[in-house]
Amino acid sequence: MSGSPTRRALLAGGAALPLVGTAEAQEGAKAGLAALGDRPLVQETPPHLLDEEATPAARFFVRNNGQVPEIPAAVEGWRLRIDGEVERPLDLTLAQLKRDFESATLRLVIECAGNGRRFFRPAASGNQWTFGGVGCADWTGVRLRDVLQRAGVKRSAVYTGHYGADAHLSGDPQKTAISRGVPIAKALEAHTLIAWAMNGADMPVMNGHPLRLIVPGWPGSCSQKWLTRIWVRDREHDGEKMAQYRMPAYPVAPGTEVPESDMEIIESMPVKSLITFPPTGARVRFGGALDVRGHAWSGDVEVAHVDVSIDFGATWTRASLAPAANRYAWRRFRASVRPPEQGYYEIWARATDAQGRAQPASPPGWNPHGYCNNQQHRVAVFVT
Amino acid sequence: MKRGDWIALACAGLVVGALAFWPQDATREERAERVVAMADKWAGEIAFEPSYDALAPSGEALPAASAFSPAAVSSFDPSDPYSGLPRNDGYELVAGYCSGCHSLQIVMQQRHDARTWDGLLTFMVSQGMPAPEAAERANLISYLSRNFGAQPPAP
Repeated sequence: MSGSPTRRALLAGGAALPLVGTAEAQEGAKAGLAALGDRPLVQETPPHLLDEEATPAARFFVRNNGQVPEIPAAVEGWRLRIDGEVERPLDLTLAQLKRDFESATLRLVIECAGNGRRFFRPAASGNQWTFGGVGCADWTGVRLRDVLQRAGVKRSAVYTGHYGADAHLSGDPQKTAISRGVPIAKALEAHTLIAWAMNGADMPVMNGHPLRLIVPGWPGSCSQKWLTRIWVRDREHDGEKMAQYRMPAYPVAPGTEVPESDMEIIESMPVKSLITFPPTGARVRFGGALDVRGHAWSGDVEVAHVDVSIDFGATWTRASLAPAANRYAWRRFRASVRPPEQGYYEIWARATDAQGRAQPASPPGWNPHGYCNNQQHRVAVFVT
Repeated sequence: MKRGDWIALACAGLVVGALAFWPQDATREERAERVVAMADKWAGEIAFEPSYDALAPSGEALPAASAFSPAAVSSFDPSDPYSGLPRNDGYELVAGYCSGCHSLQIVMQQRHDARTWDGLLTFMVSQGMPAPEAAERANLISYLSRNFGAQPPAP
Protein backbone atom coordinates (compact mmCIF):
# COMPACT_ATOMS: atom_id res chain seq x y z
CA MET A 1 0.00 0.00 0.00
CA SER A 2 2.77 2.41 0.89
CA GLY A 3 4.23 2.18 -2.59
CA SER A 4 1.00 2.94 -4.44
CA PRO A 5 0.92 5.78 -6.95
CA THR A 6 -1.69 7.57 -4.89
CA ARG A 7 0.63 7.75 -1.96
CA ARG A 8 3.43 9.11 -4.06
CA ALA A 9 1.09 11.68 -5.56
CA LEU A 10 0.07 12.70 -2.08
CA LEU A 11 3.53 13.29 -0.79
CA ALA A 12 3.96 16.24 -3.11
CA GLY A 13 0.92 17.98 -1.64
CA GLY A 14 1.43 17.48 2.04
CA ALA A 15 -1.08 18.55 4.61
CA ALA A 16 -1.65 21.92 6.16
CA LEU A 17 -2.51 21.08 9.72
CA PRO A 18 -3.80 23.50 12.30
CA LEU A 19 -1.51 23.80 15.28
CA VAL A 20 -3.19 25.04 18.40
CA GLY A 21 0.21 25.86 19.80
CA THR A 22 3.50 24.21 20.31
CA ALA A 23 4.78 22.85 23.56
CA GLU A 24 8.11 21.62 22.32
CA ALA A 25 9.97 23.70 24.87
CA GLN A 26 8.19 21.75 27.61
CA GLU A 27 10.09 18.79 29.02
CA GLY A 28 8.54 15.54 27.83
CA ALA A 29 6.50 17.24 25.09
CA LYS A 30 6.27 15.25 21.86
CA ALA A 31 7.32 16.83 18.57
CA GLY A 32 4.61 17.02 15.92
CA LEU A 33 1.68 16.79 18.32
CA ALA A 34 -0.66 19.76 18.84
CA ALA A 35 -0.50 21.30 22.31
CA LEU A 36 -3.79 22.03 24.01
CA GLY A 37 -1.94 23.10 27.13
CA ASP A 38 1.67 23.45 28.17
CA ARG A 39 1.11 23.43 31.97
CA PRO A 40 -0.21 20.85 32.58
CA LEU A 41 1.03 19.34 29.33
CA VAL A 42 -1.83 18.18 27.11
CA GLN A 43 -1.12 17.18 23.50
CA GLU A 44 -3.24 15.59 20.81
CA THR A 45 -2.07 13.68 17.74
CA PRO A 46 -2.98 14.88 14.25
CA PRO A 47 -4.98 12.01 12.69
CA HIS A 48 -2.51 11.35 9.85
CA LEU A 49 0.17 10.59 12.47
CA LEU A 50 -2.00 7.76 13.84
CA ASP A 51 -1.66 5.65 10.70
CA GLU A 52 0.40 2.83 12.22
CA GLU A 53 -1.27 -0.33 13.48
CA ALA A 54 0.11 0.32 16.95
CA THR A 55 0.63 3.95 17.89
CA PRO A 56 4.33 4.68 18.51
CA ALA A 57 5.12 6.09 21.95
CA ALA A 58 6.36 9.32 20.38
CA ARG A 59 2.91 9.93 18.90
CA PHE A 60 0.68 8.77 21.73
CA PHE A 61 -1.47 11.64 23.04
CA VAL A 62 -0.72 13.20 26.44
CA ARG A 63 -3.30 14.21 29.02
CA ASN A 64 -2.00 15.33 32.40
CA ASN A 65 -4.23 16.39 35.26
CA GLY A 66 -1.62 17.25 37.86
CA GLN A 67 2.09 17.81 38.21
CA VAL A 68 4.28 15.20 36.53
CA PRO A 69 5.99 13.22 39.31
CA GLU A 70 9.74 12.73 39.63
CA ILE A 71 10.42 9.16 38.53
CA PRO A 72 13.41 7.41 40.16
CA ALA A 73 16.05 5.97 37.84
CA ALA A 74 15.64 2.52 39.38
CA VAL A 75 11.95 1.75 38.98
CA GLU A 76 11.92 -1.93 39.99
CA GLY A 77 11.24 -0.74 43.54
CA TRP A 78 8.15 1.28 42.47
CA ARG A 79 5.37 0.30 44.87
CA LEU A 80 1.74 -0.53 44.30
CA ARG A 81 -0.64 -0.99 47.22
CA ILE A 82 -3.90 -2.96 46.97
CA ASP A 83 -6.15 -2.38 49.98
CA GLY A 84 -9.72 -1.76 51.09
CA GLU A 85 -12.28 -4.52 50.62
CA VAL A 86 -9.72 -7.33 50.22
CA GLU A 87 -8.79 -10.28 52.44
CA ARG A 88 -5.03 -9.66 52.20
CA PRO A 89 -3.85 -6.13 51.43
CA LEU A 90 -0.83 -6.27 49.11
CA ASP A 91 2.21 -4.06 48.93
CA LEU A 92 3.95 -5.03 45.70
CA THR A 93 7.05 -3.76 43.94
CA LEU A 94 7.21 -3.53 40.19
CA ALA A 95 9.79 -6.36 40.31
CA GLN A 96 7.30 -8.54 42.20
CA LEU A 97 4.55 -7.77 39.71
CA LYS A 98 6.82 -8.87 36.89
CA ARG A 99 8.02 -11.97 38.74
CA ASP A 100 4.94 -13.27 40.56
CA PHE A 101 2.16 -12.85 38.00
CA GLU A 102 1.57 -14.00 34.46
CA SER A 103 2.28 -11.16 32.08
CA ALA A 104 0.16 -10.32 29.06
CA THR A 105 0.58 -8.11 26.00
CA LEU A 106 -2.57 -6.68 24.48
CA ARG A 107 -3.26 -4.02 21.85
CA LEU A 108 -5.65 -1.61 23.57
CA VAL A 109 -7.17 1.74 22.72
CA ILE A 110 -7.10 4.60 25.20
CA GLU A 111 -9.28 7.57 24.36
CA CYS A 112 -9.92 10.71 26.34
CA ALA A 113 -13.66 11.03 27.07
CA GLY A 114 -13.39 14.69 26.03
CA ASN A 115 -12.00 13.87 22.57
CA GLY A 116 -14.10 15.98 20.15
CA ARG A 117 -15.15 18.48 22.81
CA ARG A 118 -14.23 21.41 20.57
CA PHE A 119 -17.25 20.83 18.34
CA PHE A 120 -19.99 21.19 20.94
CA ARG A 121 -22.12 24.38 20.91
CA PRO A 122 -22.44 26.08 23.28
CA ALA A 123 -18.81 25.42 24.12
CA ALA A 124 -18.08 23.02 26.95
CA SER A 125 -15.25 23.95 29.28
CA GLY A 126 -12.05 21.95 29.31
CA ASN A 127 -9.33 21.04 26.85
CA GLN A 128 -10.67 21.68 23.36
CA TRP A 129 -9.77 18.31 21.83
CA THR A 130 -10.49 17.83 18.14
CA PHE A 131 -9.89 14.22 17.02
CA GLY A 132 -6.48 13.20 18.31
CA GLY A 133 -7.10 12.35 21.97
CA VAL A 134 -6.81 8.66 21.15
CA GLY A 135 -4.13 6.05 20.59
CA CYS A 136 -3.78 2.27 20.44
CA ALA A 137 -0.58 0.61 21.62
CA ASP A 138 0.67 -2.82 22.60
CA TRP A 139 0.66 -2.74 26.39
CA THR A 140 2.50 -5.28 28.51
CA GLY A 141 1.67 -5.90 32.13
CA VAL A 142 -0.36 -8.12 34.39
CA ARG A 143 -4.11 -8.49 34.56
CA LEU A 144 -5.62 -6.38 37.33
CA ARG A 145 -7.90 -9.40 37.87
CA ASP A 146 -4.96 -11.63 38.83
CA VAL A 147 -3.66 -9.08 41.35
CA LEU A 148 -7.10 -8.49 42.88
CA GLN A 149 -7.68 -12.24 43.16
CA ARG A 150 -4.30 -12.64 44.90
CA ALA A 151 -5.49 -10.05 47.41
CA GLY A 152 -8.87 -11.79 47.72
CA VAL A 153 -11.78 -9.52 46.75
CA LYS A 154 -14.39 -9.46 49.50
CA ARG A 155 -18.09 -9.80 48.75
CA SER A 156 -18.48 -6.22 49.95
CA ALA A 157 -16.33 -4.90 47.05
CA VAL A 158 -18.25 -2.62 44.69
CA TYR A 159 -15.82 -0.29 42.96
CA THR A 160 -12.12 0.46 42.57
CA GLY A 161 -10.45 3.76 43.44
CA HIS A 162 -7.19 4.50 41.58
CA TYR A 163 -4.33 6.67 42.84
CA GLY A 164 -1.17 7.90 41.16
CA ALA A 165 1.99 9.77 42.14
CA ASP A 166 1.09 13.05 40.40
CA ALA A 167 0.54 15.99 42.77
CA HIS A 168 -2.39 18.39 42.48
CA LEU A 169 -1.72 21.37 40.19
CA SER A 170 -1.89 23.76 43.13
CA GLY A 171 0.86 21.78 44.86
CA ASP A 172 -1.44 21.33 47.87
CA PRO A 173 -0.54 17.89 49.33
CA GLN A 174 -4.05 17.60 50.79
CA LYS A 175 -5.50 17.59 47.29
CA THR A 176 -5.51 14.79 44.70
CA ALA A 177 -4.98 15.53 41.01
CA ILE A 178 -7.28 12.77 39.80
CA SER A 179 -8.60 9.53 41.29
CA ARG A 180 -11.14 7.63 39.28
CA GLY A 181 -12.35 4.07 39.49
CA VAL A 182 -14.52 1.43 37.84
CA PRO A 183 -17.11 -1.13 39.00
CA ILE A 184 -15.52 -4.38 40.17
CA ALA A 185 -16.87 -6.25 37.13
CA LYS A 186 -14.88 -3.99 34.78
CA ALA A 187 -11.79 -4.28 36.98
CA LEU A 188 -12.04 -8.08 36.74
CA GLU A 189 -12.26 -8.13 32.93
CA ALA A 190 -9.42 -10.03 31.24
CA HIS A 191 -8.38 -6.94 29.24
CA THR A 192 -7.91 -4.58 32.19
CA LEU A 193 -4.16 -4.36 32.72
CA ILE A 194 -1.59 -2.97 35.12
CA ALA A 195 1.01 -2.11 32.47
CA TRP A 196 4.71 -1.28 32.59
CA ALA A 197 5.59 -1.42 28.89
CA MET A 198 4.29 0.11 25.69
CA ASN A 199 5.20 -1.40 22.32
CA GLY A 200 7.84 -3.54 24.00
CA ALA A 201 9.69 -0.72 25.75
CA ASP A 202 9.34 1.50 28.79
CA MET A 203 6.50 3.94 28.19
CA PRO A 204 7.22 7.69 28.18
CA VAL A 205 6.93 9.36 31.58
CA MET A 206 4.15 11.49 30.05
CA ASN A 207 2.18 8.28 29.45
CA GLY A 208 2.63 6.96 32.98
CA HIS A 209 6.07 5.32 33.27
CA PRO A 210 6.79 3.14 35.21
CA LEU A 211 3.30 1.78 35.94
CA ARG A 212 -0.22 2.57 34.82
CA LEU A 213 -3.66 1.08 34.50
CA ILE A 214 -5.23 0.36 31.13
CA VAL A 215 -9.02 0.17 31.31
CA PRO A 216 -9.86 -0.19 27.61
CA GLY A 217 -13.12 1.01 26.12
CA TRP A 218 -13.84 3.36 29.00
CA PRO A 219 -12.79 7.00 29.45
CA GLY A 220 -9.00 7.36 29.46
CA SER A 221 -9.20 8.94 32.91
CA CYS A 222 -9.94 5.47 34.35
CA SER A 223 -6.46 4.37 33.21
CA GLN A 224 -4.53 5.95 36.09
CA LYS A 225 -0.94 6.94 35.30
CA TRP A 226 2.01 6.60 37.74
CA LEU A 227 -0.14 4.05 39.60
CA THR A 228 0.59 3.68 43.34
CA ARG A 229 -2.61 2.39 44.90
CA ILE A 230 -5.85 0.61 44.14
CA TRP A 231 -8.36 1.06 46.93
CA VAL A 232 -11.15 -1.48 46.65
CA ARG A 233 -14.28 0.30 47.79
CA ASP A 234 -17.58 -0.88 49.30
CA ARG A 235 -19.37 1.88 47.41
CA GLU A 236 -19.04 3.88 44.22
CA HIS A 237 -15.68 5.64 44.37
CA ASP A 238 -15.85 9.33 45.26
CA GLY A 239 -12.29 10.37 44.36
CA GLU A 240 -11.27 13.57 42.61
CA LYS A 241 -13.03 14.00 39.24
CA MET A 242 -15.43 11.09 39.81
CA ALA A 243 -18.08 13.82 39.79
CA GLN A 244 -16.76 15.32 36.58
CA TYR A 245 -16.75 12.49 34.02
CA ARG A 246 -20.53 12.36 33.82
CA MET A 247 -23.27 12.79 31.24
CA PRO A 248 -26.94 13.75 31.67
CA ALA A 249 -29.17 10.75 32.44
CA TYR A 250 -31.59 11.93 29.72
CA PRO A 251 -31.03 13.95 26.53
CA VAL A 252 -30.87 17.68 27.22
CA ALA A 253 -31.18 20.74 25.00
CA PRO A 254 -27.86 22.47 24.22
CA GLY A 255 -26.85 24.79 27.05
CA THR A 256 -29.09 23.21 29.70
CA GLU A 257 -27.88 23.47 33.28
CA VAL A 258 -28.21 19.89 34.52
CA PRO A 259 -28.43 19.22 38.28
CA GLU A 260 -25.68 16.93 39.60
CA SER A 261 -28.33 14.44 40.71
CA ASP A 262 -29.20 13.91 37.04
CA MET A 263 -25.65 13.23 35.89
CA GLU A 264 -24.38 9.66 35.46
CA ILE A 265 -20.82 8.32 35.33
CA ILE A 266 -19.59 7.57 31.80
CA GLU A 267 -18.80 3.90 31.32
CA SER A 268 -18.37 2.36 27.86
CA MET A 269 -17.34 4.82 25.12
CA PRO A 270 -19.22 5.12 21.80
CA VAL A 271 -18.16 3.70 18.42
CA LYS A 272 -15.71 5.86 16.49
CA SER A 273 -13.31 5.94 13.56
CA LEU A 274 -10.50 8.07 12.23
CA ILE A 275 -9.19 8.52 8.69
CA THR A 276 -5.41 8.28 8.91
CA PHE A 277 -4.72 8.31 5.16
CA PRO A 278 -4.85 10.45 3.10
CA PRO A 279 -3.93 13.43 5.29
CA THR A 280 -6.35 16.31 5.13
CA GLY A 281 -5.49 18.87 2.44
CA ALA A 282 -3.84 16.23 0.26
CA ARG A 283 -3.76 16.66 -3.51
CA VAL A 284 -4.23 13.57 -5.60
CA ARG A 285 -3.96 13.21 -9.33
CA PHE A 286 -7.20 12.68 -11.22
CA GLY A 287 -7.83 9.27 -12.69
CA GLY A 288 -7.71 5.96 -10.95
CA ALA A 289 -8.61 4.87 -7.50
CA LEU A 290 -7.83 6.66 -4.25
CA ASP A 291 -6.96 4.45 -1.31
CA VAL A 292 -8.44 5.46 2.02
CA ARG A 293 -7.59 3.89 5.34
CA GLY A 294 -7.96 4.42 9.05
CA HIS A 295 -8.97 2.76 12.29
CA ALA A 296 -12.31 2.01 13.94
CA TRP A 297 -12.88 1.21 17.59
CA SER A 298 -15.55 1.13 20.21
CA GLY A 299 -16.14 0.60 23.91
CA ASP A 300 -17.64 -2.58 25.33
CA VAL A 301 -19.68 -3.17 22.14
CA GLU A 302 -17.65 -4.25 19.12
CA VAL A 303 -17.36 -2.50 15.77
CA ALA A 304 -19.55 -4.10 13.08
CA HIS A 305 -18.63 -2.19 9.93
CA VAL A 306 -17.24 1.03 8.47
CA ASP A 307 -18.55 3.03 5.51
CA VAL A 308 -16.82 5.77 3.56
CA SER A 309 -18.38 8.62 1.54
CA ILE A 310 -16.83 11.10 -0.91
CA ASP A 311 -20.07 12.96 -1.64
CA PHE A 312 -20.91 14.50 1.74
CA GLY A 313 -22.78 11.46 2.93
CA ALA A 314 -25.10 11.12 -0.09
CA THR A 315 -23.76 7.65 -0.88
CA TRP A 316 -21.59 5.29 1.14
CA THR A 317 -19.11 2.58 0.24
CA ARG A 318 -18.53 -0.34 2.60
CA ALA A 319 -14.89 -0.49 3.70
CA SER A 320 -13.01 -3.69 4.40
CA LEU A 321 -12.39 -4.22 8.09
CA ALA A 322 -9.41 -6.21 9.36
CA PRO A 323 -9.88 -8.43 12.39
CA ALA A 324 -8.89 -6.94 15.74
CA ALA A 325 -5.54 -8.06 17.20
CA ASN A 326 -7.59 -8.71 20.33
CA ARG A 327 -10.74 -7.33 21.93
CA TYR A 328 -10.51 -3.53 22.51
CA ALA A 329 -7.87 -3.10 19.79
CA TRP A 330 -8.78 -0.74 17.01
CA ARG A 331 -9.42 -2.29 13.61
CA ARG A 332 -7.90 -1.21 10.32
CA PHE A 333 -10.41 -0.23 7.64
CA ARG A 334 -9.59 0.27 3.98
CA ALA A 335 -11.63 1.52 1.07
CA SER A 336 -10.90 2.41 -2.53
CA VAL A 337 -12.85 5.35 -3.94
CA ARG A 338 -12.99 6.91 -7.40
CA PRO A 339 -13.54 10.67 -7.49
CA PRO A 340 -15.58 11.18 -10.71
CA GLU A 341 -13.99 14.49 -11.71
CA GLN A 342 -11.45 17.04 -10.58
CA GLY A 343 -12.35 19.20 -7.62
CA TYR A 344 -12.73 19.38 -3.86
CA TYR A 345 -13.78 16.25 -2.02
CA GLU A 346 -14.31 15.39 1.60
CA ILE A 347 -13.81 11.81 2.65
CA TRP A 348 -16.16 10.94 5.51
CA ALA A 349 -15.89 7.77 7.57
CA ARG A 350 -18.71 6.25 9.59
CA ALA A 351 -18.30 3.26 11.89
CA THR A 352 -21.29 1.26 13.17
CA ASP A 353 -21.24 -0.96 16.26
CA ALA A 354 -22.70 -4.42 16.73
CA GLN A 355 -25.89 -2.89 18.14
CA GLY A 356 -26.45 -0.88 14.94
CA ARG A 357 -25.40 2.45 16.41
CA ALA A 358 -23.46 4.53 13.84
CA GLN A 359 -21.39 7.66 14.21
CA PRO A 360 -23.50 10.79 13.63
CA ALA A 361 -22.52 13.42 11.06
CA SER A 362 -22.66 16.23 13.63
CA PRO A 363 -21.97 16.22 17.37
CA PRO A 364 -24.34 13.94 19.27
CA GLY A 365 -26.23 14.88 22.44
CA TRP A 366 -24.85 18.08 23.89
CA ASN A 367 -23.71 17.65 27.48
CA PRO A 368 -22.32 20.16 29.98
CA HIS A 369 -18.74 18.81 30.04
CA GLY A 370 -18.53 18.01 26.34
CA TYR A 371 -17.90 14.26 26.49
CA CYS A 372 -18.34 11.38 24.05
CA ASN A 373 -18.45 13.30 20.78
CA ASN A 374 -18.15 10.50 18.24
CA GLN A 375 -19.09 12.50 15.16
CA GLN A 376 -17.72 11.32 11.82
CA HIS A 377 -14.17 12.32 10.95
CA ARG A 378 -13.62 14.01 7.60
CA VAL A 379 -10.56 14.81 5.54
CA ALA A 380 -10.38 17.19 2.57
CA VAL A 381 -8.80 16.09 -0.68
CA PHE A 382 -8.18 18.07 -3.86
CA VAL A 383 -8.31 15.97 -7.01
CA THR A 384 -6.24 17.85 -9.58
CA MET B 1 -29.64 43.26 -52.47
CA LYS B 2 -33.27 42.64 -51.70
CA ARG B 3 -34.75 43.56 -48.37
CA GLY B 4 -34.91 39.90 -47.36
CA ASP B 5 -31.19 39.49 -48.03
CA TRP B 6 -30.39 42.39 -45.74
CA ILE B 7 -32.44 40.82 -42.98
CA ALA B 8 -30.70 37.47 -43.48
CA LEU B 9 -27.30 39.16 -43.42
CA ALA B 10 -28.20 41.07 -40.26
CA CYS B 11 -29.34 37.87 -38.60
CA ALA B 12 -26.14 36.08 -39.60
CA GLY B 13 -24.14 39.01 -38.20
CA LEU B 14 -26.02 38.81 -34.95
CA VAL B 15 -25.38 35.10 -34.68
CA VAL B 16 -21.66 35.52 -35.40
CA GLY B 17 -21.45 38.39 -32.90
CA ALA B 18 -23.35 36.46 -30.25
CA LEU B 19 -21.12 33.43 -30.73
CA ALA B 20 -18.05 35.61 -30.23
CA PHE B 21 -19.32 36.81 -26.88
CA TRP B 22 -21.32 33.73 -25.83
CA PRO B 23 -19.89 32.13 -22.65
CA GLN B 24 -17.72 29.24 -23.74
CA ASP B 25 -17.26 26.15 -21.61
CA ALA B 26 -13.84 26.34 -20.01
CA THR B 27 -11.39 23.88 -21.40
CA ARG B 28 -10.40 20.89 -19.38
CA GLU B 29 -7.00 22.50 -18.75
CA GLU B 30 -8.59 25.73 -17.50
CA ARG B 31 -10.76 23.82 -15.07
CA ALA B 32 -7.79 21.85 -13.82
CA GLU B 33 -5.97 25.12 -13.15
CA ARG B 34 -8.97 26.44 -11.22
CA VAL B 35 -9.02 23.36 -8.98
CA VAL B 36 -5.33 23.87 -8.25
CA ALA B 37 -5.94 27.56 -7.49
CA MET B 38 -8.74 26.51 -5.15
CA ALA B 39 -6.43 24.07 -3.38
CA ASP B 40 -3.79 26.81 -3.07
CA LYS B 41 -6.27 29.11 -1.35
CA TRP B 42 -7.63 26.46 1.02
CA ALA B 43 -7.66 27.52 4.66
CA GLY B 44 -6.14 24.25 5.82
CA GLU B 45 -8.99 22.90 7.90
CA ILE B 46 -12.51 21.65 7.33
CA ALA B 47 -15.05 23.69 9.27
CA PHE B 48 -16.46 21.15 11.70
CA GLU B 49 -18.61 23.76 13.42
CA PRO B 50 -22.31 23.01 13.22
CA SER B 51 -23.84 25.35 10.68
CA TYR B 52 -27.43 24.72 11.63
CA ASP B 53 -28.98 25.30 15.03
CA ALA B 54 -32.20 23.33 15.38
CA LEU B 55 -33.34 25.61 18.19
CA ALA B 56 -33.06 28.64 15.92
CA PRO B 57 -34.09 27.43 12.46
CA SER B 58 -34.20 30.95 11.08
CA GLY B 59 -30.56 31.34 11.92
CA GLU B 60 -30.64 34.20 14.40
CA ALA B 61 -28.61 32.27 16.95
CA LEU B 62 -26.01 30.93 14.55
CA PRO B 63 -22.52 31.43 15.85
CA ALA B 64 -20.44 33.99 14.01
CA ALA B 65 -18.42 32.49 11.21
CA SER B 66 -15.24 33.17 13.12
CA ALA B 67 -16.33 31.20 16.18
CA PHE B 68 -13.54 28.84 17.07
CA SER B 69 -11.47 29.53 14.03
CA PRO B 70 -8.00 28.08 14.47
CA ALA B 71 -6.72 31.65 14.60
CA ALA B 72 -8.85 32.42 17.64
CA VAL B 73 -7.58 29.37 19.48
CA SER B 74 -3.95 29.83 18.55
CA SER B 75 -3.77 33.35 19.94
CA PHE B 76 -1.74 31.80 22.77
CA ASP B 77 1.77 33.25 22.48
CA PRO B 78 4.40 31.59 24.69
CA SER B 79 6.92 34.35 23.93
CA ASP B 80 4.69 37.03 25.45
CA PRO B 81 4.84 37.46 29.27
CA TYR B 82 1.03 37.64 29.17
CA SER B 83 0.77 34.70 26.76
CA GLY B 84 -1.00 36.80 24.13
CA LEU B 85 -3.91 37.81 26.36
CA PRO B 86 -5.79 40.67 24.70
CA ARG B 87 -4.58 43.90 26.34
CA ASN B 88 -7.73 45.38 27.75
CA ASP B 89 -8.93 46.10 31.25
CA GLY B 90 -8.39 43.09 33.48
CA TYR B 91 -5.71 41.12 31.61
CA GLU B 92 -3.17 41.45 34.43
CA LEU B 93 -5.72 40.12 36.91
CA VAL B 94 -6.42 37.11 34.70
CA ALA B 95 -2.71 36.45 34.25
CA GLY B 96 -2.18 36.74 38.01
CA TYR B 97 -5.05 34.58 39.19
CA CYS B 98 -5.25 31.98 36.45
CA SER B 99 -1.62 31.17 35.77
CA GLY B 100 -0.67 30.12 39.29
CA CYS B 101 -1.47 26.46 38.71
CA HIS B 102 -1.89 26.15 34.95
CA SER B 103 -0.87 28.03 31.83
CA LEU B 104 -3.13 30.58 30.17
CA GLN B 105 -3.40 28.35 27.12
CA ILE B 106 -6.33 26.46 28.62
CA VAL B 107 -8.06 29.73 29.58
CA MET B 108 -7.81 31.08 26.05
CA GLN B 109 -9.38 27.96 24.52
CA GLN B 110 -12.65 28.51 26.37
CA ARG B 111 -15.74 30.38 25.09
CA HIS B 112 -18.26 31.06 27.85
CA ASP B 113 -20.84 33.54 28.97
CA ALA B 114 -20.42 35.42 32.27
CA ARG B 115 -22.49 32.92 34.25
CA THR B 116 -20.29 29.98 33.19
CA TRP B 117 -17.08 31.94 33.83
CA ASP B 118 -18.43 32.77 37.30
CA GLY B 119 -19.00 29.06 37.95
CA LEU B 120 -15.49 28.24 36.73
CA LEU B 121 -14.00 30.80 39.15
CA THR B 122 -15.92 29.15 42.00
CA PHE B 123 -14.51 25.79 40.93
CA MET B 124 -10.97 27.19 40.72
CA VAL B 125 -11.21 28.62 44.25
CA SER B 126 -12.18 25.10 45.40
CA GLN B 127 -9.00 23.91 43.65
CA GLY B 128 -6.71 26.26 45.55
CA MET B 129 -6.94 29.59 43.71
CA PRO B 130 -6.87 32.50 46.20
CA ALA B 131 -10.42 33.89 46.41
CA PRO B 132 -10.53 37.28 44.67
CA GLU B 133 -12.38 40.08 46.44
CA ALA B 134 -15.73 41.07 44.95
CA ALA B 135 -14.52 43.93 42.75
CA GLU B 136 -11.65 41.86 41.37
CA ARG B 137 -13.95 38.94 40.74
CA ALA B 138 -16.36 41.13 38.79
CA ASN B 139 -13.43 42.45 36.79
CA LEU B 140 -12.18 38.91 36.04
CA ILE B 141 -15.61 37.77 34.86
CA SER B 142 -16.05 40.89 32.79
CA TYR B 143 -12.68 40.43 31.08
CA LEU B 144 -13.16 36.71 30.44
CA SER B 145 -16.66 36.98 29.06
CA ARG B 146 -15.70 40.01 26.97
CA ASN B 147 -12.62 38.42 25.38
CA PHE B 148 -13.49 34.73 25.61
CA GLY B 149 -17.25 34.93 25.47
CA ALA B 150 -19.79 32.50 24.09
CA GLN B 151 -19.78 34.72 21.02
CA PRO B 152 -16.33 35.80 19.89
CA PRO B 153 -15.50 39.52 19.98
CA ALA B 154 -15.70 41.45 16.75
CA PRO B 155 -12.34 41.32 14.95
